[in-house]
Amino acid sequence: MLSSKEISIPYNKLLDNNLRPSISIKFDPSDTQSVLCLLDSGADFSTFPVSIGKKIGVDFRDEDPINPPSQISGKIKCKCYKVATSFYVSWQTESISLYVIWVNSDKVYPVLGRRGFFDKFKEVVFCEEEKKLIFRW
Amino acid sequence: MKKSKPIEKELKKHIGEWVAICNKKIVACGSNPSSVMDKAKDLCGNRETTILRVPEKSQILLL
Repeated sequence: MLSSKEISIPYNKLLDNNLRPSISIKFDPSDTQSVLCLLDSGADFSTFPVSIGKKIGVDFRDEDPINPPSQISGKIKCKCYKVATSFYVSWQTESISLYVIWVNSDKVYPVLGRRGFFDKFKEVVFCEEEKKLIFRW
Repeated sequence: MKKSKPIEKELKKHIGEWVAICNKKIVACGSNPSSVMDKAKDLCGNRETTILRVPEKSQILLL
């Protein structure tokens, strides 16, 4: 029989009653600082600002900039770098590794997109009625 | 005793900014997440802190 696990995470109340599907991640499991990321099922990639990348030790010097994803390119003038990155979520001890689009702008929101994140799970459910996320793996 | 404002109300003052939250209080804010992380580290030490960019009321995120 296949064993399956799940966790549910309430949407985050950040402003008024605007509840957002979001989760906290840590780039180092021993760190006490976590970054709150919006979960975006319509986003192909996960994005973070380069300044956070530098802070956690990502070395961008040898990285060639890539074309910004279409949605960013029209809105913010910036350079983007696609770099393999690992981070941790609170309910798993193993890290999640994926390609992150690091954006050279502090105006970009930390976003977790589909590639490399959603596909780590059997199901990611946005439960709008109960305002919660359900991850099954 | 002075009642502290709910964090959601406090966050309204920081729309579009990066903030650090520790013990349900905003401990640092600014336009640069790295500086906010540094300030929060200085102020909170090893207490759990969450870093976030306060979203606008409505936004579309498509990447």
